[in-house]
Amino acid sequence: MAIEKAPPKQVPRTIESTRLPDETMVAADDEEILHDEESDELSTYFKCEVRPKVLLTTSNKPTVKTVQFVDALEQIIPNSEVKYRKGIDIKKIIPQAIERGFTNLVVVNENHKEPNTLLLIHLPDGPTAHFKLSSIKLSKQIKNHGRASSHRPEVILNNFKTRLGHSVARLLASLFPYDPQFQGRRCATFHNQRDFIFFRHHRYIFKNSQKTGLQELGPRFTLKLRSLQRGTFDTKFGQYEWIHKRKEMDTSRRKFVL
Amino acid sequence: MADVWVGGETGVVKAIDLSKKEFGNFGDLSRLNKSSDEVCRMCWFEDNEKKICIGTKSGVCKIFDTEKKDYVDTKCCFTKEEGEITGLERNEGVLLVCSESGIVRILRDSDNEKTDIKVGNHIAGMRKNPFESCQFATGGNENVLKLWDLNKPEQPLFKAKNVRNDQLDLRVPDYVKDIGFLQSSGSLPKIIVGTAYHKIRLYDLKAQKRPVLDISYKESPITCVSVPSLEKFIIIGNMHGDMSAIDIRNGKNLGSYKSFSGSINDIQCHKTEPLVASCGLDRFLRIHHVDTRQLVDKIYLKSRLKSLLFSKAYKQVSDDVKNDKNKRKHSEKKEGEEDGDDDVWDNMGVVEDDAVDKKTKKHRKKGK
Repeated sequence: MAIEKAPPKQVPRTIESTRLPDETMVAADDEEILHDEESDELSTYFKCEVRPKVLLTTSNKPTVKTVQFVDALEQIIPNSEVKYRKGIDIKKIIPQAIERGFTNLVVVNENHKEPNTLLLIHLPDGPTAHFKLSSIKLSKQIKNHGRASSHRPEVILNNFKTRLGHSVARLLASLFPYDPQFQGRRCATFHNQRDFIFFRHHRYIFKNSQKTGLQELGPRFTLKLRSLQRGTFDTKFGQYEWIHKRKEMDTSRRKFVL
Repeated sequence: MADVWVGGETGVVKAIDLSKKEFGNFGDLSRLNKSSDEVCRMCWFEDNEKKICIGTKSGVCKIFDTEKKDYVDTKCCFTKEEGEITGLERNEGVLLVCSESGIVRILRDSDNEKTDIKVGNHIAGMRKNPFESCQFATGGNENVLKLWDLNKPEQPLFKAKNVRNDQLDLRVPDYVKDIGFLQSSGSLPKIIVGTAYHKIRLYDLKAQKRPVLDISYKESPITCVSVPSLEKFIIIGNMHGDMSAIDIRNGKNLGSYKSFSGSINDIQCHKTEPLVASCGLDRFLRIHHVDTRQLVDKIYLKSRLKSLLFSKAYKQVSDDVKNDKNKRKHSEKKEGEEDGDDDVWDNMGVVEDDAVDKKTKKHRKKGK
């Protein structure tokens, strides 16, 4: 009697595997997009012409949680500084930051005493991304967390497939230095899944030729894109490249933009 | 022959075939530079739509032949200091170019003469009057709407007055972004203006210098205004990606055109068909039906789009044909159904009156 073969493994049908087709998916060898990216505002970073220098600040009179979160961000991002907001408008901070050679400005805003939005501005001429910030877990809330070294981390950008996703990923990458120190074995990950961007921070180790180990350093947080604006922060005359319109866009659970 | 021509921010010109949903790029990508070759404005060279004028950021006007598919001529209109081209119009052997710094340069084809008209600083928009070919209007940042005549360039034909001060008696800021002309009976046109302070203003030049209609539209700067032919409404777009039809008689919002996700840079209506094309920062070209506001077509064009031209030769794959087909299908179905229905009725047994009577009687008893 012939032994029956096991049935082939089925691929689970998830909302990601049944994602609606999107015509803006980027092919790796698309000449036009490569040319576009070569000459955009972030190209100076990718050509290693500038070294990232990040200014971190919060909303006015931040509460403890926001302060702790911003301090944690300072730990992750090399060459970054936290400054007290002192009630200065973002529009007034930007020219001063440019003058002092900052390449990125990060503003964490809060609501109900919890940080809830993150504004990421690339200097000197944009773009500006506005994220919803959620699920923050600081290092000390993570079990068996390690302490981050001062090495420059590697950055992993996962699953940013569309044209908009590319722009966002490039913007996020520009926070970190272009040349990681591999001996630090430190790694910052932005993982996109269903339009949520998950941030994780790890240290890896090669135990032997087969096995690797991973230790989380923290913090964890989740971002969701609300808008991408051209140029630096401008609520009055800002041109939006993409803006989330709930009623129009959230029509299908299987439609993703990043 | 392409149906729509679009100018991108990278400097490429794209020809779109709507029926096949394809596009072709014209321009050498490796040699184009965003800072100088960015397309700012486009217009037809002649009414037969065989050549296109393309105004670029560096102040050069290129002429593109749609049949040879190549650039045939370049005209250096402005130097870099004079700013980018903010208006480009073509008028019976005359090319009108407007720079951001406020110079309207008139270039005649016959001789290489240049005539300059100074129209004020920070010009954001310049449009010619499609009904009266020698008139054009300008406007910009803190620069009110002015109507000019090509034959009398010394003085503006009409200079608008800013709206009255607000309730706190403060001056209302003005920033004209785009201008549209409405058909009117007299020699002076009616002009519609969209401003960066999200206001739509209608000027009736015969009536008064201040706008006769002044309404607010959402909260983002209006970038473009377009007037469909023979319609009583206008179509406007803003930097948030909202596009709406506004009735100019009472200022009512008739409804919005959907599926936008980024700032709209240019809107153009088809001359004869009820179609409107729009493009913008979200890298899509969209074709909507003017009256029903339904999305007809949507094509991804890979770069940020600045300006577009809708060819009048394009005819919609006529809906009538489609409808006819559908109707035919429907009618065939119906005929079939009707036959089937008849059979059903024939096969059904006749219900006798007694049965019905009994039932009704029972019900009545219960009721009692």
